[in-house]
Amino acid sequence: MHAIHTTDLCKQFNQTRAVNHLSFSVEEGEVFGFLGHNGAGKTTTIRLLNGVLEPTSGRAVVLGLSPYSQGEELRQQTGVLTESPALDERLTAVQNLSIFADLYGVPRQEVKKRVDDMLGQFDLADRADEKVGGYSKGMKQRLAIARAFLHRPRLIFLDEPTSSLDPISSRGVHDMIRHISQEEGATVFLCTHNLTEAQRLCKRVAVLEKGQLVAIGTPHELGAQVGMALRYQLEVSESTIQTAQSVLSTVAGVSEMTVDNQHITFSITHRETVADMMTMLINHGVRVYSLVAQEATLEDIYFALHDEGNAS
Amino acid sequence: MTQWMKWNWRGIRAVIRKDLLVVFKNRMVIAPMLILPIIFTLLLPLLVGVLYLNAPADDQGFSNAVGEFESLVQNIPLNDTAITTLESLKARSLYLIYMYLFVPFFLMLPVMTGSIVAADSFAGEKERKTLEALVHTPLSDFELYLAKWLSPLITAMILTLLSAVMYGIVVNGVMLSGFGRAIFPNWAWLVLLIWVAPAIACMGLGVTVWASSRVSTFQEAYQAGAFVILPITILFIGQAAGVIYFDVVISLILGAVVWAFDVFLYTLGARRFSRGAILSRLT
Repeated sequence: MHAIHTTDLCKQFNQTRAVNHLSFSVEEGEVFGFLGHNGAGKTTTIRLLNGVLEPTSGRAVVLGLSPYSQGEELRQQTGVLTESPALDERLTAVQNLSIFADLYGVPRQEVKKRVDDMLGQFDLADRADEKVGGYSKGMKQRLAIARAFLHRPRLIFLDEPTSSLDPISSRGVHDMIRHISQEEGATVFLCTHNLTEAQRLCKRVAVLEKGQLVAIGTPHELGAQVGMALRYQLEVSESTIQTAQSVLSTVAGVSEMTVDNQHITFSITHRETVADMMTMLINHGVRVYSLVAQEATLEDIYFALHDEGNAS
Repeated sequence: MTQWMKWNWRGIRAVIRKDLLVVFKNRMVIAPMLILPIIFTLLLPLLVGVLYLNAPADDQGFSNAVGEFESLVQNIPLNDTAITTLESLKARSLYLIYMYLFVPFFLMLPVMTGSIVAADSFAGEKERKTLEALVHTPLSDFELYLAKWLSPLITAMILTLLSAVMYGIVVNGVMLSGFGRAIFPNWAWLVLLIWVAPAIACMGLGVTVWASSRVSTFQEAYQAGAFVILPITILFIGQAAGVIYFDVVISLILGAVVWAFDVFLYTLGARRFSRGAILSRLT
């Protein structure tokens, strides 16, 4: 079942089209990455999907509901980490969380325990009764994430969740995202600039440019889409390197071959060919020590897409 | 089940709790909210009482000033018989001051004290960048608007009723010590405090909340709401000039008219309120 499904979703503000014919789906339980530079339309998309904004045209179905006409029902089941932590700094962490627990209808008898648990999980328990205004940037961000997870939503929108966190806190948030996705089955819609984060967490990613979807798929699929062939490094015995070179030159899709001592580095257009290629090498008596994939990173792909967008 | 019973009252209460906590944790906000009631309902009536009770009998200027009130006393509604039981002109004029001339203060007080919370309702959230989290909660636009209207109204009415208690202690203290009579409250005052003052507060604060949802800063919202004070000031002048005297019937009618206008004002405001439009103005 789709957690999110949009068809030709558009949002126009005066002369600006913030979201332009957006069509995509996110599976339930998936961690979905939404990449794009500032002003690409990521935040507007979250607002449209959570029923805060009315689309100019097009359609969205989120958790089986229409976001705009069934907004209250939908928002009961979603959690949002906004771009800024949006915490009341004159209130304590406990007050901030318990007010939102009431707003999201967490059962009254569970509020205290749930608030304490979240503060513990995000390492804020010892400063729970202090005013949030005195917190560091990272602590505020952790508290805002705790608030988004507090009512155990089925779908979580995270807008730059680790942008102001140190590496240890970031790892904690990544673990939390994996946990709620894998153990609790929640869907995570992750807007991020952090491509390494997206690569680590997301099964699929979408890239947004000026409100338009320019690519969607697994990082591997996106690599293929922008013509970034897969790079592999093969290590073989010195005595069979000539044979290996000969065999590789006959494999369809192999190109850009370079040889360095016992290593042959080459590009290949289809990952599926690798298995056949290995069989051929072994059948020809090549002694293979290792084969290491050097896939294009999401960063490479993102910049390739960005450049492509600018060029067009 | 009627519609209002289906509303998310727990969520509405949570927003009110949040707003009141935020406001009452800010000394810069509390100070002006407390100073007004202290001046109008404690110090001023106390000063008037002390001056009246301690004025020498042979002070010609004072006697002339008190004499001026006699014509105003003639205009007091006939059903207010309490004044006729007061023997001295001094007592009757003090009764007039306490029971009639101070009325407009109590009509202005809820609007003036609550307008800080009302102006903060949306504009303050925008300034503190907390609005975005709130609009993503399950509250409907109608419920969110209602919560933001109720927060200042509750604040204003709590302060007004506490002020009335304080005022009653001062007034009865002065009248008891000077003339052996407690005069506050009478039925007209009770209707005024429970029926008319909340209605006028609801109107004034509603306009300020509406303004707060349309502008970007607390200051703009506060200034936009200030024009509501004007018609109330006119009432005050009318009262002082002896044109309007609040008795029970007039208060009940006035309250009903203002409440009807409040319902119209709220419906209009809530229908035009959109969380999306507020956010769009932010970005």
